[in-house]
Amino acid sequence: MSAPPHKPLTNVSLIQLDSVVLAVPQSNLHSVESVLDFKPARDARLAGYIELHRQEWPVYCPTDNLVSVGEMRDDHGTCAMLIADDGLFGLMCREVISVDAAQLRSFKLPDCMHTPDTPLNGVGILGKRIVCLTSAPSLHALFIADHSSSDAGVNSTQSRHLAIR
Amino acid sequence: MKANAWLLTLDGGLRVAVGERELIHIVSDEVERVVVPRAPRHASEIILWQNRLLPLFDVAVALRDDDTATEAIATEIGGNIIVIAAYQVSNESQVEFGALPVCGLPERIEVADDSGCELPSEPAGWRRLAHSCCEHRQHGAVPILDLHRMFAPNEIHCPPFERSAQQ
Repeated sequence: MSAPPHKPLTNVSLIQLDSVVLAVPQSNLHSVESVLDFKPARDARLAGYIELHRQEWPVYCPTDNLVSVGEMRDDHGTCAMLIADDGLFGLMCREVISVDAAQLRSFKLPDCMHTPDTPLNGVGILGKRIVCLTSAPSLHALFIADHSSSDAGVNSTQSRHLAIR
Repeated sequence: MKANAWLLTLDGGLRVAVGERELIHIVSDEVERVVVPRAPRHASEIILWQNRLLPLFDVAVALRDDDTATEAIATEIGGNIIVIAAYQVSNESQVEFGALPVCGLPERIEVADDSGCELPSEPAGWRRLAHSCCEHRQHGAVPILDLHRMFAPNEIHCPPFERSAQQ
């Protein structure tokens, strides 16, 4: 009788925006930070910066449609620090929780919901919650692209942000 | 020859039809709807139905986004009832499901073979959503939805709908 196949235990981090819940692999989450050391950016697409490990990292404050707004929101008091390809970035949100990935039932993103800039690679059911499956690199790429295309973001702040990358 | 179909009333007073076997369930609008970020405006929400996640496709919004000159069509995802539709790529393929918001209960109609007519020229988007059209005594030309093309546009290589900026 053969042994059951080994199934690695992994966790998923759930990041609650407004009504939208993003699910990213726990390995994409560096830490959860308070906003005490937050520095505003005065930028239409970038909320500010947060200092961590003696370095400043960009912080985005996205709507449910993943459009980053240029200011902090009182109801988004938690900062999920995520790991991008070349550093960290912060995502302001309501809360971050960790769950066992085995509880997640995932599905591909419905065909009619695809757009060229979607950062989602699927949707999922977790208990009674519907979650959107994504990854930190996908989110980071989206915010960078949005920021680069935003006329309002073309200023010294953007240069500073890009330099961090 | 006559075939049975369902007449659906959409937001903005638009009327469409689907085949008798394509409408399989009527659910309350109180079903949980969740926004999907960066999805097209006409399919920006997903619903949980029988342990499946189904896209909610708003035909009225799709038509408006496809033809911005059509001001009369409502601007928000509307409808007080959600119907579950089923479609197949071919007779051998698996049945797939999608959801449509509608206003009021579907009405059963008969479509005669000789009732076929041209799709309405306005809005232009009908040609991307409907495969044919029938003449209804009361409502005039009623487009018959092409559910496969609506819910699985990439499978048949039709150009995607434009996505409007959404905050």
